[in-house]
Amino acid sequence: MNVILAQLRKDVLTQRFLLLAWALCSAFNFIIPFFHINPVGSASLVGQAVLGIGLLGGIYAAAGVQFLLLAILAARIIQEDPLVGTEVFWRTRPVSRARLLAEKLLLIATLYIVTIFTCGPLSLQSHDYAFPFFSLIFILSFVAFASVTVGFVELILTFLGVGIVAEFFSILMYFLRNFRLSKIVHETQLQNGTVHSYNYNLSSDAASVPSAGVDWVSLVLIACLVAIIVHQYLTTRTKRSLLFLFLALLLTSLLKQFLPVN
Amino acid sequence: MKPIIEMSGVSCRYGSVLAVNELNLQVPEASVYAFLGSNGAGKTTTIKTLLNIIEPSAGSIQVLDVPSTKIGPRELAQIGYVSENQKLPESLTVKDLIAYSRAIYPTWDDAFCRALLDMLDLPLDRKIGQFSRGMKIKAALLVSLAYHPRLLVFDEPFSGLDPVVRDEFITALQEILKQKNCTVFISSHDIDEVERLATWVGFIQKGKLCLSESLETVRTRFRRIQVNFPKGTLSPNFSLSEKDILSEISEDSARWVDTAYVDAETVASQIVARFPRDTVHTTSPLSLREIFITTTHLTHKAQGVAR
Repeated sequence: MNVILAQLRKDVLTQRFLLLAWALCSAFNFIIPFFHINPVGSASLVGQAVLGIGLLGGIYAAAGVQFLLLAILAARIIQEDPLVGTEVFWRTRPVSRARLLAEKLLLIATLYIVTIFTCGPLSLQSHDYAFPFFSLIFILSFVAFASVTVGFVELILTFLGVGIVAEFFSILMYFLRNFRLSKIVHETQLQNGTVHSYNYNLSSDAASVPSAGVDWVSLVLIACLVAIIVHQYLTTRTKRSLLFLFLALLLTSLLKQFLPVN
Repeated sequence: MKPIIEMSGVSCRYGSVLAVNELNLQVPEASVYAFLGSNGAGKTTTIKTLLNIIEPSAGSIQVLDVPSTKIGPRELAQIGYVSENQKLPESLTVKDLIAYSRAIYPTWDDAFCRALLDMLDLPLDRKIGQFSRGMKIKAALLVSLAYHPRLLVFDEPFSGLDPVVRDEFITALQEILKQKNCTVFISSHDIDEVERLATWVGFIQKGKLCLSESLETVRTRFRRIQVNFPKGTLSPNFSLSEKDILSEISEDSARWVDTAYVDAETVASQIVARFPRDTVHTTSPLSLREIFITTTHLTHKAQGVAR
């Protein structure tokens, strides 16, 4: 417990300025709904509309900033004690990997829960559960990528790189599948002697591909991300974790495309 | 006495490069073991394997009676590690680093920490990221000593330090070692600096251990022998045997290194047997640097023969 508390204290200390900014943002987003601000004070209707749009924009922007700060904080908390490299301070100190992981997840989970309850129009208070769910995926992805990289720039580049390559493979497989399917359908029609004009337009095919099952697939992605984070913390085998990340993104991308609706 | 570090047949491979090749080494408890070798000889890799930072490709290592691959928080609480490349938490001040270390080490000694702070002259409220290289090494030393580790591991601690800081570092370390009975494993290519501390010495060349002995034995074994001939008696065609290591012949004298010196009488009888009776000979001890050069020469010679 001492180690977890010491780590927690150290992380809070090193991220104090970012944490302060995030806390101010959270407080602002939490308080603002209680003020019932409306644009009635303006003299003209146009003025009221502009003020209304401005207020709404401001509230969404503040929520966005809070969420962005959470993502940056999550990455920095992980990278404060990097898992990549052999000259890392904690690796030669009596800090167990499991305790380090527990501390990091505890701190990030606390920040996440506060964020989703206070994040203005995107929060749980607005009874829209899509945001907390997808923001969890985003934060977990960020944490997973932060655990296999050193520094924020490397994190962003790896995030984009792995994401783009996985998506590319997924699209490639999708096209190959559709090409094969349309060929089979076309040949069957020829054998039956019913030659109809067949729509080979892949984009219209794409529209008919089931897009449901997203929640189920997202749960798979969340499970994969958690497993990768645990794997990286317990083994520090970065290359393997990176490969798993790529495979997880590819798998979920493929599942989204190929799974039936229900 | 059981050694505190014991390596048997340890090899480490990075792709096609064999960084450490079948290393067999023992570090006795309470010794200061100087692990010397040129850059890229395999010193850092050896240290990383013994601290379980990397896994050896072959062989086994026992550190504090535990296999190196099983080293965990319990063993690490008894090991202090200072390296030239170690990344300290740079956003922390020395005070914060001490508070953090105090919480993670059960044997942390506040009084000793204060004594070390005075000795190392470190400012408490400055961030480690703002420190010079020398001060970072001092900070690392502080948080690696204040819990009385049984084993201290230093990887090139003098690298990049100016002579004044080096001297302070060595003096501080000597002072600490006088008070505390801990084992030190120190890797370096700064032989002269290490000589002031070492009681045991190991030489590594291209991943192979060429020597591992107590400094006392090594100093006794390696001697420079000089034979002075009467003026004008040395023939221009005179040459020494191939067995005479690092031999030099000048106008009226010949010098070489004896790696198996036992005592003065044995050398005298050997000289009498080889040279005319009216020659005069002297023997002198070698510095650790000269012993290292001799060993390197012998290794290269052996490798040449093997090829």
